[in-house]
Amino acid sequence: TMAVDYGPLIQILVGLFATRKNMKKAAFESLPDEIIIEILSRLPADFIVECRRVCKRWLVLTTTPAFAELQLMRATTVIVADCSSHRNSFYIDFNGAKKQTLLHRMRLLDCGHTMEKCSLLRQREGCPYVIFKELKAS
Amino acid sequence: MSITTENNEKMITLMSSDGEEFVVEEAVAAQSQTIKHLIEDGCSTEGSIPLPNVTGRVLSEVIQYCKKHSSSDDKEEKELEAWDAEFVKAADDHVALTDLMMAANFLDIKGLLDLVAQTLANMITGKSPEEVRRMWNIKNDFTPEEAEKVRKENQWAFE
Repeated sequence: TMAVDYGPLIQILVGLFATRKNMKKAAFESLPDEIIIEILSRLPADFIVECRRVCKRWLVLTTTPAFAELQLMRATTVIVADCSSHRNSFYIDFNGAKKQTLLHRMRLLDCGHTMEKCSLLRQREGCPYVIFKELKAS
Repeated sequence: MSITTENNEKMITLMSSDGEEFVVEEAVAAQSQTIKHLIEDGCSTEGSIPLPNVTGRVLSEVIQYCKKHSSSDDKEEKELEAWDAEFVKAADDHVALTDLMMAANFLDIKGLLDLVAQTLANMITGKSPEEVRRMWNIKNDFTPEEAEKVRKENQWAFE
């Protein structure tokens, strides 16, 4: 008896399925970084942390100083790293306008009118981050 | 040739990637910074501007948005907000919204970009990483070890 080699046929079939699958996937994976950053920088800080587990690209895009800065300007919850720590390379330059913004937010936090009590994660040992939760004025 | 309407509004023609033509008032088209600059630089030959990255379907949505936003003033802010909400709702799903966002980015229409980006952000907020992947058809490219590392590094954030 002659052994039939199904190898090439199977490869073609697999290829066809892969193409169909990829066409569906392409929509998001072909998006440029700037578009993904536009979307992710509008997420609440605590959720961004969750989103880093989605895929490597999202992890890389959300762990740059530029991203942190953009997120600081936009989102209602703000993620801030202690400037002494470079873990996750998420850091804020404590200078000039940015520092003013941060101090302003912290003061608001103290008076408790426009901001929810923050979760000061620094309380947990070794935590380099502080997350502020800002409430929309009702 | 550029056409003018009865009230002397200058009109220009926008041509989509699939060859559909849209005749709009210049003031409406100029909501797009990209088009505005093209007009200023005299790049509209015979009043027609080709937009090779935007399909007719998406372009008609973009024009709807620009028309609404060029005809409303600040007094109508509340009404405009409600209109925006309906507008993104009509875009139906995140794939259509993503197309719209690509167009808003290319055409440089800040209001539209903000609106769609925020809508998409709202759509993924609160979803688990797995749900987000399913929604966007994203492949999980972490090895189990890497996934564990990322989870550990960020775990303090979940109280």
